[in-house]
Amino acid sequence: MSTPGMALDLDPTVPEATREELIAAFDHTATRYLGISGDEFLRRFDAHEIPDLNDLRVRKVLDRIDLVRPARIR
Amino acid sequence: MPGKTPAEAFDLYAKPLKAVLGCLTRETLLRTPIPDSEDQNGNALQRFFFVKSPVLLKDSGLAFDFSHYFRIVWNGETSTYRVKTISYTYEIEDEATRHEILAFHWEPDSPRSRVKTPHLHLGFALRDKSLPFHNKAHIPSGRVPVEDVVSFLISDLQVTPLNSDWSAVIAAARHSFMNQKTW
Repeated sequence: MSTPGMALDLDPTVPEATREELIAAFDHTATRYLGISGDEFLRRFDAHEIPDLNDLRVRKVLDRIDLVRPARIR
Repeated sequence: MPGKTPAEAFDLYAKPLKAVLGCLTRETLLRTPIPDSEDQNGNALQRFFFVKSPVLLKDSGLAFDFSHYFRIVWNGETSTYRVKTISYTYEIEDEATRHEILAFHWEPDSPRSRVKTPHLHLGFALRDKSLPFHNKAHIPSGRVPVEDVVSFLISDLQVTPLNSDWSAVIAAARHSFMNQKTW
């Protein structure tokens, strides 16, 4: 089913996050659960330096990675 | 509830949701389209979230992590738009230990979730412990609207609501939700 006019100009009831807010959200989660910055988490993730991706606290951070990187489709 | 435009459909969906979450927190609810997530019709997946999540819940020692994905979809039969919920995770944590107590999950399309149906996790914080709340607390099950989780937090887990009319806010949102849900 095609969707006409999907250039979205949504009501500002819930505003679209800025790039800075997305980075802050990811950084907040990485710091809260792992005690490292969001940038450091991404560095370790890319370097395969995170030993257990199924650890609950790691998963909390991975759950928010689509805020800063293209998604795993949900 | 369908809308004549994407903005109207979004407004009808988002306003009650924002009001319900406002019973728990003054954090600003945000949304973001997920890059490279368009479906075959070009509809981007979008996510509701709080920057500082989980949000702290007043007078309870608990925190609430809220994540909710949706798409705005076109219904050619009715020539209207509506917002379709794609997945959610609503998680309740012990703020002191940061351990999860309860988690309501529905992620039917997530490659990381083996279980595609809605489910409830009794979290790590409960392992080898007696329950940190009354054992007659009414734990919702099945696909759970966030209105029910917020009501549960306030009514059963003694979270102090931020507004005195929380019950009316949730009732209104639940009424709106029931009118537009497709399940």
